[in-house]
Amino acid sequence: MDSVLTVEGLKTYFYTEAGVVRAVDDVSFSVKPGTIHALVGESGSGKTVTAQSILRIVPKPGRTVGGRIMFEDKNLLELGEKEMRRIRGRRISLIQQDPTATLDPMFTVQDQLVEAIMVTTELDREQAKRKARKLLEDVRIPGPENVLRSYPHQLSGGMRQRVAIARALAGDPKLLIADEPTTALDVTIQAQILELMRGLRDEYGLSIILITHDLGIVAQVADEVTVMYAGKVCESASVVDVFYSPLHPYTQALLLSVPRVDKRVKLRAIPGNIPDLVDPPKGCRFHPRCPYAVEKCSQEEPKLERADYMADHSGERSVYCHRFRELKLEVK
Amino acid sequence: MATQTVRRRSASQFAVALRRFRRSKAGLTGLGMLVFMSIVAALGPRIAPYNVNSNNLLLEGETDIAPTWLKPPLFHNWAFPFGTTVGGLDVFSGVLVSLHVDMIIGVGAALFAMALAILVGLVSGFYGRVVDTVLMRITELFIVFPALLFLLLLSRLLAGRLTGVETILFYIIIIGVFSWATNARLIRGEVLRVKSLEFIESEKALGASTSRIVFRHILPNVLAQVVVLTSFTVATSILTEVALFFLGFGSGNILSLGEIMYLNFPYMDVEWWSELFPGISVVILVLAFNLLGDGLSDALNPKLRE
Amino acid sequence: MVGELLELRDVKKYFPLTERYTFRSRVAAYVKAVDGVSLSIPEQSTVGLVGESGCGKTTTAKIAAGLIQPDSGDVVFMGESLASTLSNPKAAKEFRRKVQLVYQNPYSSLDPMMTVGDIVKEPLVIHGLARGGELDEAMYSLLKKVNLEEYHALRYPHELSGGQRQRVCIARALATQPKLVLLDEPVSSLDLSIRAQILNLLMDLKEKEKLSYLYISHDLATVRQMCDSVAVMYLGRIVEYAPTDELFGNPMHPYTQALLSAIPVPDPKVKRKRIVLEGDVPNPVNPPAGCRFNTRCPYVNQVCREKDQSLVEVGGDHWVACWVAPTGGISTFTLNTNPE
Repeated sequence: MDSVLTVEGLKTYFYTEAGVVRAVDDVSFSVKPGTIHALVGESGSGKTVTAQSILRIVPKPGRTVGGRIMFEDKNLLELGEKEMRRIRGRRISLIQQDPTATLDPMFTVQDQLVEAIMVTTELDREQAKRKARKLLEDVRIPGPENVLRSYPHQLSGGMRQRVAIARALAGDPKLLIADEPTTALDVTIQAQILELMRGLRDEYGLSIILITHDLGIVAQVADEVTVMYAGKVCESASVVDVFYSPLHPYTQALLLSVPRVDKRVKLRAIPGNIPDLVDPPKGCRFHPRCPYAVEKCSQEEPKLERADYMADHSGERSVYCHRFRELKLEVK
Repeated sequence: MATQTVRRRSASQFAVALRRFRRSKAGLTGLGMLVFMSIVAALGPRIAPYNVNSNNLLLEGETDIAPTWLKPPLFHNWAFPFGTTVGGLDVFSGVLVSLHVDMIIGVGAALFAMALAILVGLVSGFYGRVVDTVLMRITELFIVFPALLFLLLLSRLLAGRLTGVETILFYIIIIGVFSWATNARLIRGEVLRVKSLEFIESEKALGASTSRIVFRHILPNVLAQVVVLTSFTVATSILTEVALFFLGFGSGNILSLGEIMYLNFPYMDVEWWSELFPGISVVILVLAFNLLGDGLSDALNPKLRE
Repeated sequence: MVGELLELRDVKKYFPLTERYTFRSRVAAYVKAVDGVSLSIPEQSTVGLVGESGCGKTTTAKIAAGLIQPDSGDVVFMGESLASTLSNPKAAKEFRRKVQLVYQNPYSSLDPMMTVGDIVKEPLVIHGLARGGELDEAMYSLLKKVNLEEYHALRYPHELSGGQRQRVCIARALATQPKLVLLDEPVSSLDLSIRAQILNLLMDLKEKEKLSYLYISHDLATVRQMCDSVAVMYLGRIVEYAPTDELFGNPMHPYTQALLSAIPVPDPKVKRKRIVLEGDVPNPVNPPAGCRFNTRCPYVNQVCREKDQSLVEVGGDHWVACWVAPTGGISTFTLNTNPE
C-alpha cells in the first residue's frame, strides 16, 4: 500500500549550551492513506519534535540533521522554504494542544477562516466566506453563523479546538498532524473531538498523525501506532498488535503500568526515570529500566527489524529490540 | 541507574545565578568598572598628587596657577593630566579626592531607599486590602512629588548648617527618601507574584506562621528583584546627587564631582577640561552600576530559571 | 472502630464577581463554585472526588483543608467544627498537623530556594516535632519512606524529576503523621511511566501509616485504582456517590454515565456505546434552574427543569441526585469489562 507520508531515519538535534540534545534520533515510520496514525510517548520521547521536523518548523537551536521525509514523491527535507510554504497549511496541516494560543484574539472566527482559505486556495473573498461556513459544518459546529461572528474568547475550549481544526482543513490538506489536541479539554469534550477526527477520516479520507501520551485515546481512535521513547522508536504496528501482542518491553511495561477505568488492575510500575537526552544511556535507551536487558543491550543500539510475520492485522510491523524474537511479552 | 556524583557543583539558586552572571558580558564589564572605580575612590585621597581644599581650591603654597592647556593627543604637561583651573585646582586630584563622596552618597541613598522599599513593598503586597491601599497611596504621593525641587529647597535650607560627615548622611537620607517609592511599587508587584505561587499556600497548609511565610519564603524569592533594583537605584541616586550639586545647591562644605563641575562652570569655555573629566567620571560610575544591574537581571531572571 | 474522620455538611462557597467603579463596587454575580456539598471521609479509607474542570472539586478540597472558609455549611473534623478549631491558634496548628495536602504541580508547590532536606524538615520544625540531631534522623527516615536516597536531601527541587519532586511533597506531607491527606491530582502532571510508581507508593503508605485520602482527579482510571468510594461532582454539587466498584459497575446518574462512557479505555477491542453529551458545561455563574444537569440530560423531564434534587439513597450506600434514576428510568450502563 502506498503511504501518504514516510519518515526514514529522521534525526533532529538541539545544539544547546548544555550539550547536544538528540531529541529525534533515527526515527522511521509510515502513515497509510486514510488512517489515523498515533505517535505515542512520554515527555522527551521526541514526538512533538518529529511533527515539527515534518513541517520544518523546528525551533532554534534545533536542526534536522539527517533522514528523509517522503511526501507526495518529494523529500520534504530537501525542499526550499518557498516550496515548504506551499505545503504547510495546504497539503499538511497542524493543530496543537492549546487552541487559545493558535487563534488570534483580535479577529473573528470568520476573519481567521477566510484568511486561511484565501492563503491556501485560489478562492476569492465571497467564495471563501461560503467555504468558511461549510468548514464549520464539517467540524460539526451547531449554529455556524453565530460562531462565525464570534471572537475566540467567546467560545468554549471544545469549540475553539473545532475552529482550529476547521482552519487546518481550509486548504484541503491530505495530512493533518494533531499534537495533543485534547489534552487541555475535559473528557466529555475530548470524546466529541475524537469522534470528529474519526468522522473526518471516514468521510473525507483524511490521514491524521495523532500525537498523544494517552493510551486510551490511541486504543479508541488510532488505526496504527508508533511507540517512541527518548527520541527513538520502540515499535510500530497496528493498534491491535501493539496492545495485544507488543514486541517491545517498553510497550509492555507501559501497558502494565497504566490504570484502567474498566477494571482494577495491579499496577506494575516501571522503575527508574526517563533518561537525559544530552547524555543518554549507551546502547538501547530503555535498557536501564528494562527487565529483559542483557549485555548486548547496553552496548549496541537496536536496529530496525521487520516483523511483518507477527502482524495479525495490517501485515506490517517493525520493532527496535535485540531480543524481540525470543521474548514472549504478556499483557494480561 | 541514577548516577550519584560525590562532588557536585552547587545548585542553589545563588550558585546558579553566579554562574549565569559570569556569562553576562554587561554584568562583568559593569563589575570590572565598579571594582576599578572603588579602588580609585578608596585610594584617591592618598594618591592625589596635590592637595585639594574644598573651600578655596588653592594648591598649598601656590596661588594663581596659570591654566594649563591640554593639547590632544599629547598632554602638555604630565604633572597635570587633567589640567588645572583658574582657581588653582588640579582637576586630576580633584576627581580622585571627590570620587568616594559620590559613591558613598549614591550607595548609601540606594540602600536606605531599598530598605524602605522592601518594608513597604512586603507589607503592602502581603497584607493587601486596606493596608495595601493606604501604603500605595502614600507611595504614589512620593512618586508624584516634584522631588528635585524639594531636594533643592531642603539642601539650600539645611545643608549649610551641618558638618562634613553629617552632610553626607543628610544627602543620603534626602535622596533616599525620594527614591524608595518607585522601588516599593515594583517590589510589591514581585511580592504579589510570589504570593500567588502554589508553594506559599502549601506552607500555610503546613501550619507555618505568617512571619515565617513572609521572611523565610517570600523574601528570599523576592531578593532577586531587589538586588537588581538596588544597582539601578545607585545609578539614579548618583545622578540626582550630581544634579543637586551641579545646580549649585550643594552644601558648600563637601567636595564632590558635581561640586567641582558647579564651581568651574562659569569658566567652561576657557577650561572645558574641568567639566569634562569630572563629567566622564560620573558617566563611568553610573554606567558601571547600570551594566551591573543588567548583568544581575540576566543572572537572576526567572524566565531562565530551570 | 471506623469513624468519620472528616465531614462536609452542606458546604457552600460562592465567589463574588465585583464590578468596580470609581467610588463604589457592585457585586454583579456569584460564581457558585461549591453549592451544597455533603461528604464524609471515614478513617483509613480513600474517597475519590471526580469531575470535569469547573465542577468545584479543588475548591471543595481546599475547604476541607481549612484553606478556604465556606460561606455556609460546616466542616467537622474528628467531631470538632472546623470554624471553631481554626479560630483557636493552638487547635488550628494541631489541625494542620493532622490534615495535609499534596498538590498537582510538584514544582510550584515547593520553595525553589530550599533544599529537599530543608523542605522535608520544615513541618517538623514548625510543629516542634524534633530538634537538633533528631531532626535530621527524622528527615532521612521520611525520605526513605518515599524511596528517595539520603543524597537527595542536598538537592534543590529544580534538580529533581517530576516524580521525585512529587515524592518530596509526599514526604513533607507525612512528616507530621497526619490522619488525612488531600491529594489534588497528584499524578496528572507526571509522565505515564512514573505514575504507577507514585500510585503504588501512595497505596503502600496508606496501609503503613493508616491514612485516609481524599483523592481528587479528573482521571477516572486512577480513581478506580486508588479509591474505596467515589463522589461525582457537577457544577458545584455531588450528583452521585457510591463505593468504587458499584459506581463504575452501575452508574445511575446520567452525567456519571456520560462521563464514564467518554473515557477511552486503553484496549482497542473494547468498543463501548458512547453516550455523547450535547453542548458544553454551563457557566457556574448562572446555573440552570432545577437540576443543574437538565440542559444536557437525555432523560430530562418537566420536574427536572423546575426542582433540584438532593442525594437520595438507592441502595447499598449508593446515592444519586436525580429525579429519574431512583425510579429505574435510566437504562443501565456498565463500565466493567468481563473479569479475566
